[in-house]
Amino acid sequence: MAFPEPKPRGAELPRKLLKTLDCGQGAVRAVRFNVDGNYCLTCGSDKTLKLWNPLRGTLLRTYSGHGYEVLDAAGSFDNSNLCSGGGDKAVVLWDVASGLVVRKFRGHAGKVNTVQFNEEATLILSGSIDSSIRCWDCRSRRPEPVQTLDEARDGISSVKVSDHEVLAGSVDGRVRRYDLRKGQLFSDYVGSPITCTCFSRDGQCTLVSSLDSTLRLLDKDTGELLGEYSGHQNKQYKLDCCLSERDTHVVSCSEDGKVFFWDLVEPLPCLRRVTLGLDLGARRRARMRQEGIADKGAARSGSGRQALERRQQNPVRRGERQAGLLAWPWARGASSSVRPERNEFRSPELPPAVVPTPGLSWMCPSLREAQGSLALALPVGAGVVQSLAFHPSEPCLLTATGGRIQCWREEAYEAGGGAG
Amino acid sequence: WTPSTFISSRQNRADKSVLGPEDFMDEEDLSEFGIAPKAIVTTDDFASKTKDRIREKARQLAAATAPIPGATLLDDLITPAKLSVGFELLRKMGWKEGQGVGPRVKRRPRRQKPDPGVKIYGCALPPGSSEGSEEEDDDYLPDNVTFAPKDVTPVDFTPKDNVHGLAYKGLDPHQALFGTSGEHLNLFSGGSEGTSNLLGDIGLNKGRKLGISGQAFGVGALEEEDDDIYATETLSKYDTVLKDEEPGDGLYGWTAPKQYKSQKESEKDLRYIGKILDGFSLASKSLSSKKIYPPPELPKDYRPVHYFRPVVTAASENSHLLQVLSESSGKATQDPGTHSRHQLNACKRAELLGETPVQGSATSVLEFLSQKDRERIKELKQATDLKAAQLKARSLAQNASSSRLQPSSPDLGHCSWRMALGAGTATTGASNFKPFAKDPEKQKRYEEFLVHVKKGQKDALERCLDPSMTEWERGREREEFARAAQLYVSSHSTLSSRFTHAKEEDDSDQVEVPRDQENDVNDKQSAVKMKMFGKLTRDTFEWHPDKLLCKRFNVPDPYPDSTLVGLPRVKRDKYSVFNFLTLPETSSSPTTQASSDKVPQHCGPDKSRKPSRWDTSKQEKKEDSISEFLSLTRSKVGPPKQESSPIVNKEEEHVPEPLSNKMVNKDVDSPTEGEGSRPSMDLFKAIFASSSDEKSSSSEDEQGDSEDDQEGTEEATFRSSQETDLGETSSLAHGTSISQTWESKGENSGIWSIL
Repeated sequence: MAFPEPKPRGAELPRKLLKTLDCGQGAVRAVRFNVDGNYCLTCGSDKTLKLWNPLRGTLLRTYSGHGYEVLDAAGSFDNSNLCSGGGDKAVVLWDVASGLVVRKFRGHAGKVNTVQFNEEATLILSGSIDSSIRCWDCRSRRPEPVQTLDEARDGISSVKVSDHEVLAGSVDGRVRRYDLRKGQLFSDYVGSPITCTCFSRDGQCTLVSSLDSTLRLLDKDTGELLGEYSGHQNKQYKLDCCLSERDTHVVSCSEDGKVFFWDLVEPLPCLRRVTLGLDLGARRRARMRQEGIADKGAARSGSGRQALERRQQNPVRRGERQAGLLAWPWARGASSSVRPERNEFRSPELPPAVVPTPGLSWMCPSLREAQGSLALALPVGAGVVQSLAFHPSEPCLLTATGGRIQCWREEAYEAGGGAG
Repeated sequence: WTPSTFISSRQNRADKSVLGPEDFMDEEDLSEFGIAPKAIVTTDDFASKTKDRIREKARQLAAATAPIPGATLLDDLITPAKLSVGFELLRKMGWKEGQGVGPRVKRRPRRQKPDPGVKIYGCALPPGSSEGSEEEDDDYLPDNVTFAPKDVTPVDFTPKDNVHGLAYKGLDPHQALFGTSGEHLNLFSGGSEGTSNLLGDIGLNKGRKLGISGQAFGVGALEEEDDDIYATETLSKYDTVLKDEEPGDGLYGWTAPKQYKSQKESEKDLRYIGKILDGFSLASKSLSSKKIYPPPELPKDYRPVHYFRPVVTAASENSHLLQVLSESSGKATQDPGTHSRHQLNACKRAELLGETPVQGSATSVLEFLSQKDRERIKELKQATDLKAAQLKARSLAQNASSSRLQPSSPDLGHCSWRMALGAGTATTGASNFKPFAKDPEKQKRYEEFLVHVKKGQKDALERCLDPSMTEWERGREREEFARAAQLYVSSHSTLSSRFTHAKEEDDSDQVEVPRDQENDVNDKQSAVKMKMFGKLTRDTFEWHPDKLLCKRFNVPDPYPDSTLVGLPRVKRDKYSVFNFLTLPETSSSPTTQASSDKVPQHCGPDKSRKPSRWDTSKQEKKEDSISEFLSLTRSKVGPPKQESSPIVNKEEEHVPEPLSNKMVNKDVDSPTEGEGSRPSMDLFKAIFASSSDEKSSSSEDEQGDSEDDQEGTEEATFRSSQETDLGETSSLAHGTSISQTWESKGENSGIWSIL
């Protein structure tokens, strides 16, 4: 059946509580979506990792094998593996279907705060309280890490990985970005201990949250401040932050039991057109195209790169395929709910030459030092909202408070609409 | 027996969903008598309500023995109204109480006759048991009548509840008295006898049979047993003579070897009087008696409180005392009796015992000193050496261009080391201990010196020392040699056998430090406050990803020719604070050089790719002028590291040298000596070698980068060193404060996980 062409519309915020899941694994340390957003992982303080279907509220599998509480987890791009790190200083690679431990990487001297797969799930990058990031090889049987990035002077609180970068936030108040292509390390000083960092979805900016109850949007290339967001409370805990599915909002946990949403850019009338015309996603796509060409010129594993690109362009279909591959019985209904295209107002006619290099700051001079306006403070629960995860393609939010996780959708969302 | 193999449950871990309490129980917990029995057991509701005969009888007995006889009547009255299911089922199938279970039999197998051993006379027995009564009225049997099988009475197992031995039976009074007062006595007797009594008359009969019976007593009216009625009692069965034992040896003509018999007999008597338990036999050998040693007799003047000898403290005013002490201990060889044994050492004891002295150990006064005394003397000597060094340093500072010869103070040192060496040097000829192995020239000089000393030449030191060296260096080396000789000679023979030379050179003086450091945070903090993010807050470093990392990321290696991983690193002196103590004279020596080893090893021949900033040092090496080279390397490496390298030697050839040509090679080594003679680096290491070293050296690193323009004159370097020294301490302090904040932040991050 043919869908009508989706109209560009204002971003919707997930404000409707769809589901509350009592995870039954002690305090939930972290909640994470899988790659396509159909499933989620909860890291419990009772040493278990659980895989859920958050929309249905069904528990799919429990992964036990950690020796201490699980602090972070991530899923691989093909949904076949999981990785997790915890207080037992070990990084564990799991097999999703069988629920068995594939490998355990030991080497960290302290508990592992954060883990990430690289894009092809050949490496696991783990950041630990021992102030090192270790890159573990999933392919070989080597027990040592491929490389240890120990430039940080204090514990690593957050690690994010893009196709050629590693972004790490450390308690020493610096955000370090290791650029593998350039062979350079960029260290941005923020001052306050950093709790969470992430790339914007267009890959041009980094969002940094720190213990001075402030989130900062930094330009990736220059390190300039593009926006500052405050109003929430984050003075003690390692809380998550992220950007919404279309880079329209900045989302952060808070210690007062709320989730805060800020407009990424102040919605000025003059700016709105600019943002609409130059959507971040489009720019990213254009850049991707550029890089793809460059890579082909370098004659490097063309097919792999193409596959990679395809994957990035259509994460949903990939998720379907992989789910079918694994033959999960629960995969059918859930994937059909996902919308067919990720970016509605993509502008493919945009020539690559127009793509600005310095990031968002060029758009409007007034954007510099922009104070993001608070869009929504969503009351979630009584306690601290420890962790959140934003759906990669839909306005769907998962929050973790205490031992429960909650799933939030936009107002217009109807539970019966194919979610199953 | 094979040990049970361990079976890992790791693979099944994912399958197990929920664990119940049973998963944590032991096997015996689940067995019949555990806390959670698994086996099916009939509960009381389903238990049979047929009268258990044994229990019945026990109850009867209990009733009989109870203070209130017939108390069981009450129990009988209060029988449960409800019958068990099994009971009812059996009843419906036609079973009646008292019958056995099974197919009906055609005919009673055979009528049971009374025990043939029991003869019944007169009237019949009273109907005691049901069996008997059943059998009584079994007169005629029609053919078509079947009977239920007989109920089987289980064997009566009575528990043993007394402390008698097994199968012990006390004298049954009612047996003895022919049951006349049996009923009465029975009330007080044990349960087992009671039950047997109640079991029936047969048991009673058997008991009577064992009773005392005889002609003399006759046959009573109730006595059925009269089979011995015609037996004659002969008096020969009785002893007629009163005597204590058998006469003689008790052999009664038995011709066994006499001593064997008697011995055995006597032993038996000796050892054990009494019954030997079944299954045991007497030991053939007697236990050897324990020897008891009396406690030692205390001497008359013994005092139970220990008296400590006063310790002579090692102070300078005590040297007289020490002298006296050593003399007296030296004398002790002549009359050992005057000294207590605590003052003897191994040598002396050996001598006293008349052993041949160990080859090689020379006789010296020092040899006979106790270890403590020797150490004390050593301490004294070192103190004087230090004093001499200080004096020298002062004099040197006063007149840098001093042409004066050595001050008089080293002579003291001379005496001391000569004294110390007097004993040891005899054996040092074959010594393979090389205290200056790092520096072959110096080692050679040292060996030469030892040879001279062995020959007894007084000016040994002056001869072997390098004349081209400055006075200060010579003084140092002299001291050093003296100390080395004294230290290593005494211990080498025992120690050398236990140690081998290290395979790799211990380069602990150097530490690897990232070349580029993140700048000071102060200006950054102010930048953050002003929200001037960007250039002010950003540091960019060259960073080398691992090759495999690039491969896994599908990214071309940015530095394909580099073997480096991570941030570029440089080697720095670890104990950089103390380098400044010797810095003036090392820089004054004309050929200070930096080693070419420190420049990175990854400079590949091909530089077609992006040349790393780090690779430039190769071009620098090609430069002719040594001064430029020096300045460059110094600016790169900070405090210059002293090391002899072939490149420098080569370059020296075409650089005009003020010194004599033949001593060039030795001259190169001179700075190393200066470094080596630094007073006992181990001491510094022990005190200062902590984790803060890296930090301090790294912060010093920043200083080093900033002082590029400072080079050349000794004065300038000296000043700069002082400056860096100051900066060092401040940055050190800063470092500690930072680390403290880190720690607090670490706690923060610890808190993070606590919800």
